[in-house]
Amino acid sequence: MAENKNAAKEMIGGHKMTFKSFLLNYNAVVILIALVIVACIISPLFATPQNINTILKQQSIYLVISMGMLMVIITAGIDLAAAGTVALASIIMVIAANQGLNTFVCILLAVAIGAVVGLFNGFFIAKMKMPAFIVTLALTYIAQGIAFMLTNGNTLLISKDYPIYQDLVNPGFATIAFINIGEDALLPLMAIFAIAIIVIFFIIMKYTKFGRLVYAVGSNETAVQMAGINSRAVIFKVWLLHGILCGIAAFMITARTGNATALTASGDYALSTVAAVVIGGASLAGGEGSVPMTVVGVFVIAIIGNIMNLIGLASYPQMIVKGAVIIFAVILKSVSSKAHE
Amino acid sequence: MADEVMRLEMKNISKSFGGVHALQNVSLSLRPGEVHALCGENGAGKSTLMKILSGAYSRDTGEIFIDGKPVNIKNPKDSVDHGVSIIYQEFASVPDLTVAENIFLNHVRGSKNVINWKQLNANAKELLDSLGFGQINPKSKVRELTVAYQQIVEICKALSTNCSILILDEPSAVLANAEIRQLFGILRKLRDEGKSIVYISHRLDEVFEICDRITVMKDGQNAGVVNTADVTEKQLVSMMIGRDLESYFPERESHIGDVIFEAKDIKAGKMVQGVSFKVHKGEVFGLAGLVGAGRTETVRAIFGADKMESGQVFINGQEIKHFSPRNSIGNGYALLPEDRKRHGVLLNLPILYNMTISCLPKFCSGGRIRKAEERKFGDKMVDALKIKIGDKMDNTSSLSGGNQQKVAVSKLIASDCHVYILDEPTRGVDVGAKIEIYKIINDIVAEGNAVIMISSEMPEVIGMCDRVAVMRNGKIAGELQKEEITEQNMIELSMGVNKV
Repeated sequence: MAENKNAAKEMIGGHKMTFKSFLLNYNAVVILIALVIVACIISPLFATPQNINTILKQQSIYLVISMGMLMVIITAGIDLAAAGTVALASIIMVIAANQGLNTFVCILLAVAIGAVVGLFNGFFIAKMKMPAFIVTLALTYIAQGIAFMLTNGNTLLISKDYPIYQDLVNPGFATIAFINIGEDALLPLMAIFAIAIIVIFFIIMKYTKFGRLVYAVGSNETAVQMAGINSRAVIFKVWLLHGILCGIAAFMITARTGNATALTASGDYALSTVAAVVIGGASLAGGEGSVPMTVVGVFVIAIIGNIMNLIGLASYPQMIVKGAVIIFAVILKSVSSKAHE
Repeated sequence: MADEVMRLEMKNISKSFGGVHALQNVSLSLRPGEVHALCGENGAGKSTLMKILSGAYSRDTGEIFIDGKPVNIKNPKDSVDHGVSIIYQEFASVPDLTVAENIFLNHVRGSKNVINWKQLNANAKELLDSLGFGQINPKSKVRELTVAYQQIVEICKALSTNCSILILDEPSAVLANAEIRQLFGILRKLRDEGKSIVYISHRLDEVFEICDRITVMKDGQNAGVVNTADVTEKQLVSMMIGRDLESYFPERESHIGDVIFEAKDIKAGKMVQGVSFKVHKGEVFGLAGLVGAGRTETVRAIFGADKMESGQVFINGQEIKHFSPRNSIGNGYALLPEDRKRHGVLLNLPILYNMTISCLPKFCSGGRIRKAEERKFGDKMVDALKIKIGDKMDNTSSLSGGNQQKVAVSKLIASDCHVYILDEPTRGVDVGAKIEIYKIINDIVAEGNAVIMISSEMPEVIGMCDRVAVMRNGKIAGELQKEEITEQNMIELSMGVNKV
């Protein structure tokens, strides 16, 4: 056979682990390392256990949501309503808690609310084939509206009279009281919780049939259908799982703050996690992205915020810097991928 | 010939991609008013050379002269300004714009801000008419056209720039014979007007029919320039692949068994109006006809990719009730779609994932993929189909068209079906890969399975099929047994000349 030497050579040559291809796939790691070095130089407070504890506790919630967001983005979707979902679930959880319901039931309720929102999204996006952008944009308004109606714009505190306060909020000794234990530990238990979820999703995305199908559907849905696979069921499950993760995040927020507020709905949980996933190398066109790199993406954003807090920069200039870094990360990716061609 | 001023001269062009020589000292010359074929296997460097001429790539070394003057082509705009126009194998049309808008896309940049729609549509109509494709509505969106018509739009787009050098990369791959005749008519006219045409094609019969001279490339180098009249098809093939080719079509002993698949009175939209046929075990059944005769539409409806209005499908005598790709594969028949990029492969996923996507449950226990077994399966497929890859975890987009097609075929075979419907399985695939795909087809039927093959290449139908149904206007115009399968018979049936 006349071997197609050129093509073969080109392919092998193109996949040597050059600096360029490293930059292409792992540029977020480079950025993260650079940020950590800068942070250590700028502020002696950065590498202290208290500061690391704070970062980890804050980011645990983002990490959990970003796992769902990652799957959604791999299937070429986007969820603008993640913050709204989280707010709804945490408000309903606090309302239930203040009715004296069992701690475990309250947690389940938060997760269930997330799942219901997931079913809502799944129905319109996977079954009705509506664009995720539109559905979740609409959902943002709906969730905000419900959240404000339920709270009348007030912050709902978990009443100290009920056992759930001891269980979740006050570092006590009851059964599920693990969340806030270790206030100053290097690794807060909240982070351990997030790490567990990350590990689970790492395994799902890399080693299971479901994970493979998520990538495949995002890469070329028609081809997947032609291979005899129900691609819509995969997308439906992605949204359901994402909703459940938002419910879990809601329960973590509630445990951390001891209250619930409609303001959570206008927080940056949605856009910040989208940015993290994209910094981690995912493409909004679908089919690309990974769990470890998404974790890196979350910390890139976290450490930028942390550095600026440590040097006492006000929050508005902080936003500008964050925006600039997101653009920088994506430029780095597109420049290195062009060089790769 | 030394004094003759060439329309185009490319001298000693070299180009590397990251240390790999895609082109080494390649030269190409075009006379004014000639159709010049550029031949070679996929990956020989034809497309790279043309991309340098059209400014999509920049050359590393070498010179380009147009009408005797040195030119420096740095980007696509330079190339258009020098009168070069190219029609890529992968069309560059904007699917959501209309035919007229696409045709005059290049002109929009310099023109006034207000578009005169009447004028634009009228000009487009004129161009389409001049090619004999007046039936294409300038106002319809390109997305809605068939692939063949989309190509016509591309050709009009190139002609609209008044180019003096026209490059056609595999123009006939998507056209049926009648349309190819029309295309050749156009090309001859353009040649007589003094335009120089580069014609890239894997179909040698066309090269011999339309081209005056042939430049052959192999492995990024020149393998020779010949006058078409001085060589035979066989000689040309051996120049391309560097060895003699005894036969295009590997031999097969047909063992035809019972009916395994039957379609009865299939109706789907305008294109499929009552199609019936039977396929036997161990048989390669051809579905021939012109582009637009309803072949693709028929198999898509049978497979459940498009809606079927009425009709019955039986597999091993069992009637199939619900039609969806999922059910079809469950029932034992699978489709290799015509459009590889859109429907066939997952380009930005690894090759291995493509191969196993249709049979993942085989490697799964409780949702977990047994990766070692999956990899072993991939190795087996790569060996069996002789797919040339660097690593099976490379993205499928890194492969040449022929190898991508083999990946699509392996994905299909992995689904463990009994009837395989292959829609243009060798489209845009080089000679070597074609032969290997033919061998795969032979292997499939040797195991007692059946193949339904749609092909616009007559020699392929003649060489491969045990029986052929020729379609015309959404119906079966006639069936031909092995010994009756000739170009003459097929053309007569497909064009309705007379009944056999």
